[in-house]
Amino acid sequence: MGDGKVRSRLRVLAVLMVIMFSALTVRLWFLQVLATDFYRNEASQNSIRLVQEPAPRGEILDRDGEKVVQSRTTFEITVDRQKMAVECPENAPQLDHDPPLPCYGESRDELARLLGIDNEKMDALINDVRYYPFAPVPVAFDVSEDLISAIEEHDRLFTGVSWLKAPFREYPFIPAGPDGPIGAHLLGHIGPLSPDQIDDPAYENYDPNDIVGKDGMELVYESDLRGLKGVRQLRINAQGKVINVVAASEEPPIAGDDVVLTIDGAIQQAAEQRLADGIARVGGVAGAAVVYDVETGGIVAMASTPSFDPVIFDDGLSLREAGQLEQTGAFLPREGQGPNGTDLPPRKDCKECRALNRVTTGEYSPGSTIKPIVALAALKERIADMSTRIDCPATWSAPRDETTSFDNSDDQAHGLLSLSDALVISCDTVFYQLGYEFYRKEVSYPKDGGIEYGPSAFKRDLEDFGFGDYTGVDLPTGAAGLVPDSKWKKETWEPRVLAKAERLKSPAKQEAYVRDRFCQYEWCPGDSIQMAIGQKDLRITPLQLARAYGAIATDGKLCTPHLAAKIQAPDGSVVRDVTPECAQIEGYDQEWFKYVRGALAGVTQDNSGTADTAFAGFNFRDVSVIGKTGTAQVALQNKDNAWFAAIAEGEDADGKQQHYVVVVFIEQGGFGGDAAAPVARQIIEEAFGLKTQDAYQGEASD
Amino acid sequence: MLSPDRQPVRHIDPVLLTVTGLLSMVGLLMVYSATQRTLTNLGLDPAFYLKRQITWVLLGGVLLLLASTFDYRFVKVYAPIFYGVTIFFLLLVRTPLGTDVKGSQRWFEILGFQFAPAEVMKLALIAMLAYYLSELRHQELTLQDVLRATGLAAFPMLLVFLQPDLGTSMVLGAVLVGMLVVAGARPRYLAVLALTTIVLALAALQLGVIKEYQVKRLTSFIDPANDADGAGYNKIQSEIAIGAGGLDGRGYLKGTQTNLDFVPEQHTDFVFTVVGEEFGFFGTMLLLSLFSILLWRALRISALSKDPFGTYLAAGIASMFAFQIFVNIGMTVGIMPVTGIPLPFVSYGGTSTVINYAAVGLLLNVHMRRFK
Repeated sequence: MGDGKVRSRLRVLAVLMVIMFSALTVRLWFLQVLATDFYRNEASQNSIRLVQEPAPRGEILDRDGEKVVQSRTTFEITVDRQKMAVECPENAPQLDHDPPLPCYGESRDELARLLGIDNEKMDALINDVRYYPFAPVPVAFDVSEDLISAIEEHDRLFTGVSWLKAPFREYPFIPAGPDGPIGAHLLGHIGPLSPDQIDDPAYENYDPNDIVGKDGMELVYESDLRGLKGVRQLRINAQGKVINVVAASEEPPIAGDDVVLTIDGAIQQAAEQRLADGIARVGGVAGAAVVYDVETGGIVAMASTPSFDPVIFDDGLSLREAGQLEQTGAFLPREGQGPNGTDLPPRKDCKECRALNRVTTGEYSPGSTIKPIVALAALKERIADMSTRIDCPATWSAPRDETTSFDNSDDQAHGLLSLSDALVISCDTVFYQLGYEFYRKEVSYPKDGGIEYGPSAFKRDLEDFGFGDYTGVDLPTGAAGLVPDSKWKKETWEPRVLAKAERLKSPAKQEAYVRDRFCQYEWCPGDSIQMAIGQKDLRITPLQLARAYGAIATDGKLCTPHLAAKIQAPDGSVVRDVTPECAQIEGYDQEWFKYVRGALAGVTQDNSGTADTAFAGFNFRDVSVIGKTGTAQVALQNKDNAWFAAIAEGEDADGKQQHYVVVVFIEQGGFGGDAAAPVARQIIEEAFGLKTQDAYQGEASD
Repeated sequence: MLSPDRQPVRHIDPVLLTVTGLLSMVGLLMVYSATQRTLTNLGLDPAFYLKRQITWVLLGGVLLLLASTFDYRFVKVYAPIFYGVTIFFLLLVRTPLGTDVKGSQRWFEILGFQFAPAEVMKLALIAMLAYYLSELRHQELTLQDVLRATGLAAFPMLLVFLQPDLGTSMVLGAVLVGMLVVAGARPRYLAVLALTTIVLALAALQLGVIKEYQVKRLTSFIDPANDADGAGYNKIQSEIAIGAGGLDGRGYLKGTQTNLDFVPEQHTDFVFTVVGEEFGFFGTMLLLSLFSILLWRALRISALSKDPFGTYLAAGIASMFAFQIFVNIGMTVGIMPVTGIPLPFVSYGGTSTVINYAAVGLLLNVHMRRFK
């Protein structure tokens, strides 16, 4: 081993070292000489953190200014995963995850002990995948100030734990309704953004962990209630400790605006209570009640039973749980639960869903409550006039079709009746004949054979009163209902009939099968006849009915129902008014409306009226109440659906002149006059400050 | 056992001694700067770490004196025992006697000071390899020799790796390669060695010996933003601190990144960021120059040595320093992966500091006794 060789090998080593040092020099030259401006900027940004301060969410007030939903700023505990994490012990199960989950040490244990939950649950909360890895993860909502100061005082124990202020909702209207606070369906609730909303462009200005309105007023008026977050620039160190606030850049949060409702808290409360009691009394399944201001379209009360409790977020943690339930769909429909907790078989159409607002989304056959509108349509189409007298037999069959007979619901004949008399006693056979006349007006027999029906004046007349279309109410959900016609019938039923026919072997048999079932898919007299008494395919929502009765009350003024009266700033100044949107229904004489209202007065006041018993002893001197009962048969349902629609006018307890429509609907409640009318009476009495009668116990017929 | 031989002292390397002293000064200044603000904020003595580091430096000084006083050829005699005892301690640290810190067992805790056998292993391996290579009688290194040398290094590397201390394990590998180069291993043997390492690393990954997060930590330097709060966080923060230093730095104790604690592990593995931020490009170049002089003297001593053992010893020490300097600074400027390798003489640290001074002592020893 010669010296020369060693020297040359050492030179190799030296060259390697020179290369290494050159690389470092070049890199340092780049960082410190060429790119220093960039890094100086980064460095100054590094210590400045933008901190968002949530804006107080607007509140929801009733029409008298009483708070129905109240905002409260609460404390929320958050965890910085990176700071709380400790190095995992060897063989920790977390490391088998891909990617490995962080391990949390004493700080986690302390926090779990403070919140009174076990470590496993704590870990699950902290590792919630819905939050970015570096974002603080909220682990406890609406915690007491004591807890916050406990964390502040022992901040060495709580590494990576911090807190922030968050808006929280309270429903101060006490006492609450039977299933929770009042107005659950219309007020809605708030919750974290759902994954769908995060992707929704409408929510692009939101942060993924923002709390937003999820339903009802909270959702519809989200942009008013929300306010604007404040931003503060804080100089902080790497531990997140605030060194000082950069005052120049401070933007305080702007509180959200308040929503003032057309709802009257007291009437709402009465409606919910009376409806629930009324359903229980007749053993009904569910129900709806609405009090509607005929002059403005404002909804004064809106009750749907069964209801639910939007304050399920009371233990702080369950806000998150509610969000998760909501995502899986488990939160909203509480299937299989009837009123009073009775078990019902699960149903796919969600009839027993608590969150379903039956006032706007329940679609039902109106039964006889449609008759006043049918009478008005008959007057308009010159099928009858105010002096026409029509026979009211016990049973009636369409000419040339003796095989199908339509019975009066009381199976009795009442002789010749005017339209008004027919409304008072709710004679079905009179309205069958009107329905048949509508059919005759609209059917034609083309020369090449066959039958053509339509365009239907009957359908158009019902649509003029707002049926078959959304009401435009300011709620996120609603149903259009259905006013059927020949086109709808054919599209809906012909494919089913043909499909069944195809199972038969010979074409002749198939043809015969389809021919025999002509009236299953084509518009036949029976369709118009049934529609005239609000049965078969006609579907309406309780709110549509209230709106149409509002038109009857106001000589044809059809208004768009709404729940918000105005938006106002926290200082009480009006941001914007929700102006009533009303339109006159064309083609009707004022006289006709007056005539029909006269008939409806008979319903509640004449001895023969179907709601006479329900309104026995009512104070008609101070408040005029007119109305119509309805009893709708539903296939496969052992009890009928009960309806009552009333128009009430008079001075309320404050001496203010009020003009309301009150619609009460009870699913499987039986007779409308027996089940629904007494509830309507109680609601009216409470709304006008009259002495309330005890629940009516008698019998009545439709 | 040492006969007082006053002659060699006159042949001490003053340059190496001066450079070591200057580096120690830099280290103390930087450790103080990196820690004083945090300590003050916590209500503690701002000089706490400085005082501890001074203790380590003084202890290192004693070891430097010891390592240079006796004839280094004694090291050759005792090299196998030194090597064996250190391996014994490496095994012992895995038992409950070792201190479990953040899931890894690396230290013995003695009187409040930590003693890490892995650091000692660096010197023990250098001595052992120097002993083994200098005992070879043939002209050129055979494949068998290379494999044996590799075997000597591989066992402690494995033990250190399992602690887990990937950084120190890599330093041991660098020492092996550096010494094999000086011993004249053929390039293709070294190539085979490199290839085997790659295959073993892949196998380890496949069998799950290396965890996914370890790979992530090693690869995050390529795109640190990809993992900005995880393994990439250190990297980004340290680059910002160094880059923000600019040409002439922000001044001693005036680095904002340093004061606000944005750079983690700043007094230990990331101490270079303090130099970068507070003294700028001039400061980092000055420090690199000091390191260059250190390495130059080490290689010079290797060349001047009167026997192969001294040559290998000095070459091993030079390789150790060079690799640590490069990987440490490289990781702070973002061109090397983040591994826990301290910067010699500057990083705060116990055993590693003391070992550095002992290594300089050995270099001085070889230099003093370079005449036959």
